[in-house]
Amino acid sequence: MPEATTLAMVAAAILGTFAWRAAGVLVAGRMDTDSALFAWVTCVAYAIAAGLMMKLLVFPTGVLAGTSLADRAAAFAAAAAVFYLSRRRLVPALAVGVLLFFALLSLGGPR
Amino acid sequence: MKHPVRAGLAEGLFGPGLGTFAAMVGFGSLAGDGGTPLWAAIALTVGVWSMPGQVAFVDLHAAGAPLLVVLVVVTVANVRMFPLTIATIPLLRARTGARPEQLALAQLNSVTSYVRVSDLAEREHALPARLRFFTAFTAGTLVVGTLGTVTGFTLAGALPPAGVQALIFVSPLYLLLLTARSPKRRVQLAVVAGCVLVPAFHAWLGGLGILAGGVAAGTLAFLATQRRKRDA
Repeated sequence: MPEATTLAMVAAAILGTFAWRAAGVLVAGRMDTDSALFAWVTCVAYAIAAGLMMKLLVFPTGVLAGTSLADRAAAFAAAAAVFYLSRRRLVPALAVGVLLFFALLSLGGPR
Repeated sequence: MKHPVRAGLAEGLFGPGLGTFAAMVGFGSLAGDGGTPLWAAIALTVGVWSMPGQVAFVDLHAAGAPLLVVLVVVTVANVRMFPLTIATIPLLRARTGARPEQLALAQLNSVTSYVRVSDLAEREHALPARLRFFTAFTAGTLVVGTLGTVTGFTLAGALPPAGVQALIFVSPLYLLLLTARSPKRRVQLAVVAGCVLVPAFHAWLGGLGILAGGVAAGTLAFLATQRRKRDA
């Protein structure tokens, strides 16, 4: 693909994403952090952030689509268990989840 | 917090930033495998700075998709930056009103940075220091994210497929655990409801289902806790 085409595609990707950020700044302008509206926006932001990640684990696209739901669920369950047993510490939970996932994939061979 | 800039930079580079690094190694390796040039992969990390759109770009570029399709698909994939920005900016200013410098803060913002600064705000962390921490933290994650992109790109082809898959797995796992750390009951409910409703709405409505599911889940959590407050 010509460099100029790639450059135009990159510019489109950056501008498209920036549009959401700029629109967010405009809407945020009038928002008071003590208001009920802000509490609602916070709930929606967290729900989208967490929900999108869960969607990636349950219905993945791209590289993760080549892995089995059972492997992803087992790794997630192990990470969640370590997370709650270690008083919500991130690093041990993440390490256990990712290493288990890698081990399951390596043992399972090509799918 | 005595030195917010130092603390923010250290955390961004070596704390939660490690999750960003691993995720971007995954992205860089995808870009290398998919034929996206290194300069474009770096420009996407620095300029788009939102994983779903970056990953979508690599697929579209490899498929030789038309410009308009790239614009629409990447923009829809990154819709989460809209509510995320609305939720972040008010935490970083002393009084209401949109100002030009907030565009720079919005551009630096990411889910990781939002969750971290929202956690600080809930713990009554004072404002000028919070803004300095946020700026240093996001700058730190941007640096490690760029390094991760270059590392992944360089290693593309050399990494076993299971290694790339495990690295891509870091990002959703890490962000899920990060959002589950909030001490607020309202937020915890929103996280659980989002984990159920966003995938369900996405299966039903496609890309728009992410926003619709998020609004439904967030509203449920908000209403449930408001009612509880009134009853108390």
